[in-house]
Amino acid sequence: MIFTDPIFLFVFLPIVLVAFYATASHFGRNYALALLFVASIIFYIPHSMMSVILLLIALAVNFSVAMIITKMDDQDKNRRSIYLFGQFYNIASLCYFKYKIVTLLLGPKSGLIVDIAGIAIPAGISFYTFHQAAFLADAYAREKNVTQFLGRLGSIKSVFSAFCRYGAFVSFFPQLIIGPITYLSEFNPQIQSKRFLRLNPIDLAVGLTFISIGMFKKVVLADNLAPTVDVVFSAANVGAEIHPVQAWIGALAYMAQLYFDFSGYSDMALGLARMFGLRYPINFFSPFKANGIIDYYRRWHMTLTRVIARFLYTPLSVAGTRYSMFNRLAPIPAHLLSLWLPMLVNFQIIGLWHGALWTFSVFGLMHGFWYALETEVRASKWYKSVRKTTSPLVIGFIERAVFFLPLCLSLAMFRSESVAGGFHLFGQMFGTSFDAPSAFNMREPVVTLAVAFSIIYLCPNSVELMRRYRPAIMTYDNKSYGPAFLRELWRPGWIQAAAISGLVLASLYYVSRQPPFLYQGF
Amino acid sequence: MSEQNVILEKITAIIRDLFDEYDGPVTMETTANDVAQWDSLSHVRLMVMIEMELGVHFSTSEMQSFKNLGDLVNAAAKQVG
Repeated sequence: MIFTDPIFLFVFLPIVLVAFYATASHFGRNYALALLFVASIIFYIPHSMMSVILLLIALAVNFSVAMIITKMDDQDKNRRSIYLFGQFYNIASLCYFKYKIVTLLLGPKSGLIVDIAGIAIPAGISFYTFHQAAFLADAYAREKNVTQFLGRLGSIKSVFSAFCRYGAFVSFFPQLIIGPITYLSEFNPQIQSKRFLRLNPIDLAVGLTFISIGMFKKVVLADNLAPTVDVVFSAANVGAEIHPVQAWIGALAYMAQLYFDFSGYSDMALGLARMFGLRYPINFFSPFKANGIIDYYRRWHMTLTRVIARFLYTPLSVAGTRYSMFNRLAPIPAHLLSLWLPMLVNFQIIGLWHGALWTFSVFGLMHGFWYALETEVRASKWYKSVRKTTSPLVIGFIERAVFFLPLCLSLAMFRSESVAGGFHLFGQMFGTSFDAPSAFNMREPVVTLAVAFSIIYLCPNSVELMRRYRPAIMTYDNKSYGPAFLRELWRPGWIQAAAISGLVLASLYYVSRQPPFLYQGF
Repeated sequence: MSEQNVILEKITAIIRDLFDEYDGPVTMETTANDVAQWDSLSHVRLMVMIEMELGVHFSTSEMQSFKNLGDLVNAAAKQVG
């Protein structure tokens, strides 16, 4: 199911909510979590039965490994091997099912890989795999929440109820398909708290507000930009001439579409979880207001940034720094090893994480170079002296102006149907095809774009708007940008009710057209 | 002087050298947020410099788990002692 599906919103969600709070008050925590686990599996069934089986196997493998390494003694040499087996399973299943990496490397006719039942990429596999990989790492490091969460594990019954808790933690439907990728240290304290399981009207109100805002962003803004984006990118893919203005509208429309698609999803995920009394880590915090690519990745898909930095970038950078310092390398090779190489690998993985396509690889390369370059510039004496002598307002403006163009181009490459198509679009954006025939009617997309970019740059984001109700766990300490007089605080009232009703009505009007969330394919 | 103090003193020297623009106090309570130059990149450098100076070894997950200099000093003291 997807969040904007009326069957999900008006049938599935109310039934699960009532069942959850009824089970909670009559049978307690373990049964309520087991119910969430079962409901999440039901939510997942429409994606494909094969995906459900894969998810259950992945849950069983990771849970068993976590259970065994938690019980084992630190001195036991097998502990590390068992842990590595678990992580190997995660990486291998991700590579196999998502990338069919052998096929990619050797071509489709290599015949080296047997395609199990011709399965499509299982929805959410990259999210629940990262989720469980992080959990296993915590179990291996004996993070204190893991021991508490798994419990004593004496009898079969206790193992079963621990498995249901684990199932709920990994597959809870608000975050199963598109994240946020959550740590157990964020989830466990909430389910242990006395407040969990108690029906609190504020949770429902805050949750519904987030769902309404998220739905509007997805159904009204993102989906209305989709047709324009499709027209421009398919034209670019076949090498057609495109009027520069229309090429720009296409690229900008994709920026806004991706933004509101993911932002809308993230709002809905926070809202849905909140209706069950749970808070999730924030995944999206006004990324286009960032003052550069470094700031951007602290605001865009923050829980992915966090996991990749923890498991990939930092170990690589530590290894590179150790090597260069022990061997007393000169500054340039030392920088290449401790910054550039880890950064390029890091972004190549982030790019390919979205799928095994060359466009994602080029996107990763662009962002890797850009990130490393910006790091060097910000560390330079020149930048520091400019910063001391220039007003922060001017610097902020220049930084954002410099940030915008590479962002727009790299996201256009990300969306392109081929690398050649991406470069062709760049050529058309800066080209002179002024007599190219019009590819689409401009009025509607231009109005939608104007509304979309005004919201992006001027309005507070949903977490800022609702901050009085602590809607999310902060993953990075981000500054609020944007006009201060617009940083309104949400409070219950007639005007707010009318505004939210307006968003809901507009969403319902458009909801009959249902393209899937973009991030679902990643 | 206790072991912790000796280690803190050595680390202080490294911090003064690496974060040359910082002239505030360096104590067991100091965190990366107190020092403008102390970002994730220089954090890795700092960790490796401390490893080399004290002859200790931190795992990557340990490096990321220190909440303040006190945690770092205690972890180093365990290995030195």
